[in-house]
Amino acid sequence: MLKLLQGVLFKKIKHDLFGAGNGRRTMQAVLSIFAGVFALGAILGALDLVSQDTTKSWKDASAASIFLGVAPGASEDVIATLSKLDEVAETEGDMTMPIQWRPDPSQPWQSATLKARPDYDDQRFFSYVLVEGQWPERKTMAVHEGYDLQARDQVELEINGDTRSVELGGTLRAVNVRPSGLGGTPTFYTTPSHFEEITGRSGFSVIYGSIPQYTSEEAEAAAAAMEDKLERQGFAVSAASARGQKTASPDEHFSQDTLDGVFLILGIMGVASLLLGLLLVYNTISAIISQQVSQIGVLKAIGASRTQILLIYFTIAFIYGLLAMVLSLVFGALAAHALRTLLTTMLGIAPGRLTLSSTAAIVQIVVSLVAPLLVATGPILQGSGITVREAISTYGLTGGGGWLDTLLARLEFLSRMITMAISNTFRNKIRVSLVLVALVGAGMMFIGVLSVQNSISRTFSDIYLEIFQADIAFTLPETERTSELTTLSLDYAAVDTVEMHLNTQAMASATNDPDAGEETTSVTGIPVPSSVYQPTITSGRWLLPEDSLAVVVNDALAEKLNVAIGDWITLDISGKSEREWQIVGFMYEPTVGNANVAYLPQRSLQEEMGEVNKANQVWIRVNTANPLETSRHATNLRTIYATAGIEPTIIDEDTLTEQTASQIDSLSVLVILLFILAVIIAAVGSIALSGALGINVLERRREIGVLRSIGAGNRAIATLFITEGVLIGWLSWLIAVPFSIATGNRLTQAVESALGADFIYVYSPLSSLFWFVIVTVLAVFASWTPTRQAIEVSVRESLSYE
Amino acid sequence: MNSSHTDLNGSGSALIDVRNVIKRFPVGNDHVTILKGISFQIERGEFVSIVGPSGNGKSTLLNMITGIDRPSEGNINAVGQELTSLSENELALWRRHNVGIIFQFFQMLPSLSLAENIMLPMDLADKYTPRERRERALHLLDQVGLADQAAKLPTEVSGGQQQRAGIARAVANDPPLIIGDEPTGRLDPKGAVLCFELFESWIAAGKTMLMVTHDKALADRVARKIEIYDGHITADHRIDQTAMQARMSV
Repeated sequence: MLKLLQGVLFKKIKHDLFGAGNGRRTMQAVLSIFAGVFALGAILGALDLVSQDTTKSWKDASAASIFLGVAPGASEDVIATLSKLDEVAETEGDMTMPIQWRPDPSQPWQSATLKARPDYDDQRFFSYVLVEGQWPERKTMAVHEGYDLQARDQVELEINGDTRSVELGGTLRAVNVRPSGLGGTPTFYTTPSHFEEITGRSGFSVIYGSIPQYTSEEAEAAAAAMEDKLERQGFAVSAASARGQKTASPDEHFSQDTLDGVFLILGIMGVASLLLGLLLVYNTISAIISQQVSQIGVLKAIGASRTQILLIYFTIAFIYGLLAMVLSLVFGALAAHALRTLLTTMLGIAPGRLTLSSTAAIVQIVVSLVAPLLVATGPILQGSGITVREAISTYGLTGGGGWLDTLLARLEFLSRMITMAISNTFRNKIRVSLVLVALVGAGMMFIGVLSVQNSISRTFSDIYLEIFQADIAFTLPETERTSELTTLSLDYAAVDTVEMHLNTQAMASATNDPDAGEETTSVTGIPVPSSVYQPTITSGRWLLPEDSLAVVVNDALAEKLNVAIGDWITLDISGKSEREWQIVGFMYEPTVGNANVAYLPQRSLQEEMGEVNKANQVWIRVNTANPLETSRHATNLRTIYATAGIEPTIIDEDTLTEQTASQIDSLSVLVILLFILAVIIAAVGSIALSGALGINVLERRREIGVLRSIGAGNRAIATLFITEGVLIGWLSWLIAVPFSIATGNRLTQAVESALGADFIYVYSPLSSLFWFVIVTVLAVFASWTPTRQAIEVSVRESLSYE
Repeated sequence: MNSSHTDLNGSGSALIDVRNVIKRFPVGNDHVTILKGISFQIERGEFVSIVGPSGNGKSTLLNMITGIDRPSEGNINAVGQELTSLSENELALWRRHNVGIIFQFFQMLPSLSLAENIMLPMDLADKYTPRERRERALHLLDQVGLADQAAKLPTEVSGGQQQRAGIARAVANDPPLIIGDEPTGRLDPKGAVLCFELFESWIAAGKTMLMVTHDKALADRVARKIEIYDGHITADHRIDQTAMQARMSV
């Protein structure tokens, strides 16, 4: 059978691929396959290589599996004794403290961290890499790379109210520090003795540990043993990993969740691109078959078997795939490396050399060679099955006569051209169905993405501001007397309302099911009733003034602990309290990062923590709704507090309006990615429509010739094909709109999963109207080339017999 | 119907046997009957023309005999094969070795040269070696006066030249039966004479030819003429050799 391809038929195949007028079609088909396979290769390749890079860097840096925060700081001797525990292999301490910094006195203060480790020449966990200059010495510090700082730069640090000018001696890279690309703040490194000298704090506040052979159970047992030993020595112990846990796999980078979310979205984009590219291949093969129906008939008449005819057209589809494969392997590898470099640099990891991911290459080869053959099977089987008589013996006009035509014939108010356009639209039901798939998909995606954006905006603005009814929020590094700060705030004329909350971290567990594990939880003691916090209760009730050991938790925490209303949970506020609290209600609070939240009566929490009449969060309502004015009031209040020796933690956004805008912005990258996907799908849908209309022109050449010969001008011919295109566009809109409600919901859930967030889904009806306009424009645009082709059909050629 | 059977070759069995063939075509909710019960036989080595007014079923009858179309009722046996029982694929395989078709509208593949169009049936049938295929194609083109046009594409030659190429292609695989639908319709008189002499040489070599033609002069030169009118055979004339030679010499 393959010998057949050595004969003259191969010249026919070559002509069909590269002959005059066919080269562009081949390029379109190859590029269609290439787009999807390239995207898959780039994404899979980047995922594979980034995973290798992060795992390698994590392992090379000797990641710990135990992360304990201790207060007060533990000495080296204490840390050394922990390593003698049977369950523990090794331990090391880390000094860490939040500070502020600025490049020079003219700049505002910004958040930073100060760290010190026992011996930079003998690091056991998360080994730092010296990028430039030297390790920290007596008076010179090092800084983490990525903040436009280098050796011999001078910076100012504010520590415990004192401003110090510090010279930098070098820059280094640490894998366990959130890099600037991921929103991290600068970390400065010094020696332990210098740390003690300038902070007044001695001892290591973070302890890392490892076990001989990691399993999560053994790590938890080792952490429990370390915690037990520390607590018996009077230390308060808390979770200290980046994810707020006491243990973690040493193979898993702390940004793995974010990476997984990003790659999930990119993966969906890649698969969608591939599927739609294959839709274009289907259209292209259909076009070839349509054009060559008479040739197929002649081949059969002169003795070609169906298998021989199948071979011709499957060879064409295979060559499309082969060409796309070569292009996508090369460019996919380059793009994978570029994406890998981008992501690893963001993570603060040195990217590896340009490498071809074997996994990605295999997938690309299989998909590019097999997928076009599968997709082309339908039209090729259909075309090869045509009888000789159908192919070459019919010279008149065919088609029509179905129920639609009968119905249209009764609608006498419709012009003949519109009637023809409506009839023509549905003549080839399979073809129009495939185009509809692309356009409906585009519509669902477009409206869905706008609904996701709408949901995020609504959640982090309207809903957030309905729950937190304040304009300004400050967090204090230490608890302060509530009466003093309240009076100070109310003395400022613009302030209407002041309320203070006590916030701390605790480990929450289900009292009756301690094996269910512990969850790091943000615990807030709040006045009942509150004038600034209006909870959204999803089940049960809110706190009452007479409550003492009642707690209200968010739905996320309730699900993780598998607790119900009336159950008891234990809150372990390290070093201060370990008590059971009864759940009286579940609530919803917009969060990002899968955070756990619990609210207690403030008085009860203050008593548990020994912080009676003290709090560390200030919520303020001012007498203006102007965001700029509010921001100015926040700055003024900071100044006022500073005169009383109270310095709220520096953050970029003090006002709730700024905070919600920042939240929305931080999520915008994902929404933009989804929007790009919607645009790609819409573009492909438009191309698919254009392709389908082009095939229709080819098939109806004789019909067009007859119309021309009886007086149809350009406008009439254009009306036919543009009407067809617009009808398909509008039909896709009608189908997409109801489905987009569910799509938007699913997309929102996907974004929630990727980010560990919790949004309120709000459908965007305006976006469906917006899409109506867009799809109409796309349809007219898609009809343009086929309409021009139809207008250019020569009457003589179309009516002459081939 | 006037028919007389003369066993021209003494083979004793008909090459084509058409029995009670009826052909209907659907028209809306009704149908129209084109062939209304056709029966005839063609012996091996006969040269037969089918004549009659347009629209009376001549081309439809040829399509039945080549397997391009199927009768609504009746049977057709051609070159030892009952055609009505074959699938589309089986008909294609049967055609490659047994029938050469000269189409009314040439049906050349536009991306292949004239020579390659003639080589194509040989490729499909895997007949002759690759070198022999090209040599044979050039020889056949020479026979129809197109040797110098062998490398040209169909769109680069005239309709008449395409038709002559189509004639050459019909015998590419040396089939025993040749069917022609207006095989000389687009030829000038000189070309028509050339091709007709070629047809006669095929008959002399033992082939059988059946053609539809409107050319009265051509039809008068064949040994047997079947007239079809309104879906029926109205006449079936056989002309003896002496009378035919007398006509040709006029």
